[in-house]
Amino acid sequence: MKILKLEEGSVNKESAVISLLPEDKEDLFTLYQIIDEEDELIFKKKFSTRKDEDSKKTNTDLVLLKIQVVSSEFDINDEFLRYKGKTVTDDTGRANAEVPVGKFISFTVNYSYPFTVIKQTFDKHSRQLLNEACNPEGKSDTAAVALQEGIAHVCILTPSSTILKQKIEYSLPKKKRGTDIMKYDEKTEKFYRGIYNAMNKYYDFDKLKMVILCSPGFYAKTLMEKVLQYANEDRNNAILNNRSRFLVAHCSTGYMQGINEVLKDPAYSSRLSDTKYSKEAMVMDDFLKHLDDDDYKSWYGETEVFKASELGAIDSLLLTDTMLHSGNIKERKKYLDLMDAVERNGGDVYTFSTLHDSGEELDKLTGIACILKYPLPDLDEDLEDFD
Amino acid sequence: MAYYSDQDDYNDDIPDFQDEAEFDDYLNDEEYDLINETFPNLKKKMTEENYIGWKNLDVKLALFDHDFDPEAAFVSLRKQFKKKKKVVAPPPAASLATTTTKKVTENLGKMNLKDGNSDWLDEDEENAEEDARRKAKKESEESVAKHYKKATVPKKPRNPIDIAKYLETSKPHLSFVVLGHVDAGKSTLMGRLLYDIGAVESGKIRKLKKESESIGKGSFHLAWVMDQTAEERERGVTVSICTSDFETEKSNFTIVDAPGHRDFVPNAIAGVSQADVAVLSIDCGTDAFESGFDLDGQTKEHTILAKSMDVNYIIVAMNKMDSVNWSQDRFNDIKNKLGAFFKDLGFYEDQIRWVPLSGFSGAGVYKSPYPTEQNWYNGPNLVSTLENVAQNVGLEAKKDVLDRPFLFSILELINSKKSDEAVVSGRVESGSIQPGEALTIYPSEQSVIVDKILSGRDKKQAQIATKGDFVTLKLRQAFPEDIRSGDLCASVDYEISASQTFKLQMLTFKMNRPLLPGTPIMLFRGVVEQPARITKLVSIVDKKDPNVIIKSKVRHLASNQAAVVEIELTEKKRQIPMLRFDAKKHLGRVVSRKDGRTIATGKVLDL
Ligand SMILES: Nc1nc2c(ncn2[C@@H]2O[C@H](COP(=O)(O)OP(=O)(O)OP(=O)(O)O)[C@@H](O)[C@H]2O)c(=O)[nH]1
Ligand SMILES: [Mg+2]
Repeated sequence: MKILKLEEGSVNKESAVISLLPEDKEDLFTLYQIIDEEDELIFKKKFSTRKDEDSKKTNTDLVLLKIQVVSSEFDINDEFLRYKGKTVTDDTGRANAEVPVGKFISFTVNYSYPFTVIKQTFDKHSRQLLNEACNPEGKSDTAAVALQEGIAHVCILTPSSTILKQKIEYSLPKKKRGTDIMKYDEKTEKFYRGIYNAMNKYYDFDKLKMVILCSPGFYAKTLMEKVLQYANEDRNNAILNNRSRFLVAHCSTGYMQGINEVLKDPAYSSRLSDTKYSKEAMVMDDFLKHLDDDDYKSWYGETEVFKASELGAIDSLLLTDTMLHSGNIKERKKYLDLMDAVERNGGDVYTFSTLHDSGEELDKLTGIACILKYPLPDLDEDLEDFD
Repeated sequence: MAYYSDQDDYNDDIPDFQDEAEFDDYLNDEEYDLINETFPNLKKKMTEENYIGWKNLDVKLALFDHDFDPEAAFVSLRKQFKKKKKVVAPPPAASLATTTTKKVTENLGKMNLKDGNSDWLDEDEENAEEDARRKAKKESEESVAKHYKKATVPKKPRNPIDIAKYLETSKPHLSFVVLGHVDAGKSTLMGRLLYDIGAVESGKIRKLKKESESIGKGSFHLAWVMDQTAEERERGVTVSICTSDFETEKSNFTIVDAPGHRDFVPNAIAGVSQADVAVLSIDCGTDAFESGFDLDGQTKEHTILAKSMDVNYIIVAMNKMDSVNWSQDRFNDIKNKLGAFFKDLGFYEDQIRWVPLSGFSGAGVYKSPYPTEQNWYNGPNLVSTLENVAQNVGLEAKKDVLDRPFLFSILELINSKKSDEAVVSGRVESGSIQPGEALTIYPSEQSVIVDKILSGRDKKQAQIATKGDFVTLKLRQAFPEDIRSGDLCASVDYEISASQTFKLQMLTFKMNRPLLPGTPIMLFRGVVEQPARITKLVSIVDKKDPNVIIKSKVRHLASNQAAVVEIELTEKKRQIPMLRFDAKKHLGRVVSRKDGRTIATGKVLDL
């Protein structure tokens, strides 16, 4: 993300006026998290207009507009972020020059034109997200292919999301007759070829941090060999020069759950350690482990977590980005204060992206959970009346 | 040879085809394969480029006329057909950078604000188009199987036969899955069995022996009867299940050889789902039994799977007895330990048989006698034991034929050269079927006609298939592109549901992480495997009496608990067809795994 201008406190004490230009889908995601309802946007939008009634010729022009955000729509797969809002008066008079106030208009964020966000409350969390977005390091993606016999999932892990780029599926003939085996070998070859082609199509090997190939049995290893073989045949330098970025790993399934198994597997943690998603996967697993041990250190649900925080007992706070993007400013403030409190008491805060598997898991689990510094067996005591 | 042939007499040879099927029938095998290689891509291209008015036959004819060259065929198709009128995409924003703001605002005032009543300034094409594109993409990504014409009126068999009479005279059929820890000698035992019974010729065994010795795997030559892929042979490990039919005087059998390696448990599950009973192979060698029997060994996991998938009969093949000199002490020692485990799982003694044998030498398998060291066991050998069991299972199966709906699970879709024909192999789960009758395939809900039934090792045509039989069905009026292994077939007057979400009564095993709302799992029903997620923990119930609710606010589900839960499939693409457990036990049973462990079994309560 490029920040062109950042001016704080000009509208009110907590406000900020930020001119910025997003550069990739991660930036879109950051914006999606930062921009709330009631924030204001100033942007240029093109309009096609007919010169006069009967001429066929149209003019397309850029208009400077200012809106107050009413709703947003986001899809990371499509790299798509659109805001809808109502036009408001612009004190500078530059925007909305000919447009009445109170009209609805939409704005699809693009990578070509900078625009301006006027945030009413520019809090610590937003500031941090923006800072991270401006730092190209740690933003690079990891590629992952999970496979098993006849099925492969070609994915990309960005800091904020797991994206399935292509699913490859070949039904292999069951073994029975000699001719089937020939067909089997042929199809298997096509299967690996298919994965190789998908990898070339969707992966930019020079920019990737790592390429994980994972499977039960020997499929990942065979894939690695095949990929190198094909790359040699094709003189595919993008792959040949980046051999060292490949990691062949073991997991129990060729479905996308296999990738998460690798992320939380301590055997690979040294190679994955600085990635946000493997940290998320591991914290989640730690949370589950305490739950399984029944040591009263893991709790989930809003009431329980807030209670634990009041006692200063939280070691790790797990919450999803959706909690911080609830639209309701009061709600949001509540969670920001919680994060502050946990950190003040020496705990760690992990915000999970719901576009990753562990984030989705946490989201279904009320979206908020914690691991305590010490056991609190009766944390849900007054809540037990449900039983 | 030239690509284009202008000779008139050449063209005269090609008849006018009424439809695609007729054309497919006309092609020879080689041409048919070529068409199938080139057709899908070209069809896709025609669709993607918005050509309209064409049929599959046009595309195939074009390919045929242009020697299967897709480029050339496309050129000719382009001339034949028109494109759908397409809205021109707006130029990219960047190219407009030079326009000035001032002038526009005037135009804006003129143009968009005329309609003063609208609250929307920009119900513009750009938005509409973008939305349409995204919507189309979503739909194609999430498309659920198409639905076809579904018949409801049964069709009479072509040459009806008297089912009751047939049942009186027919041999019983038994299918058994061979389970056990990796390297327990399962494939060797099955290779031996097929060889001794005469289902595999000695010439073939000689050939396998030579080939296996040449890569230093001589001891695996019998296993190679079952292990046929290069990977399996080089590594000496079975990967996928291998089914095989054989026949004795008294019964018909289907063997399902399962892999023992922990990574391939999903395939073993597919194997168990096809079996009436299990043969559990135990390596009786020193320390070998112990390593397969410990917590993470597959001896236990396989047995638990079999038990939870309603396999109620286990024949323990006490294998590799030659390696411990047929020691009776070793036999009894293992029998005691395993026996206690079976009991814990809820097996009764009369559901278990124990046979000492050596798959490698053949002693105790079929007709090969035991060596003199074995002077303490007088019971039946493996094949006789199987025949006895077949008798019982066969009698039970026969009760499930008359007046029962025909149900069939598809294990494999076999390639057919004809476009409206589907060839499927699978197992009759209840009732019976005869050529000429109609059935419906789920979840695609296409109704088809049974043209032929093929059964047995040599795929002989049969007049009928009944519950328990493994057969291949040739179906007409079918859409094979929408048939998958794991699909279910039923008589046209019987309804099967398929769903994305359902309610299970679940029994958890030993787990090392609890189950919570949101926990991702892998779900298995028969040979189908799908990622899924727990959406709700409804209640914890009594293991002995699931009607007794122990707790209804459930925070998490731990090991060895019974509970009612709600599940949702993660992928939207395809639903799993299944029945409620109370309607058909075998088709309403699921197993779930997570992180490479079998964690729970479930009965479908509702879907
Ligand atoms: N001594 C002895 N060795 C045997 C016997 N049966 C099999 N073996 C050996 O055990 C090894 C494994 O045999 P397989 O038949 O491949 O075992 P499996 O159970 O099918 O293995 P997976 O399918 O990979 O789980 C081979 O080296 C066989 O030669 C037996 O009866 N006696
Ligand atoms: Mg084997």
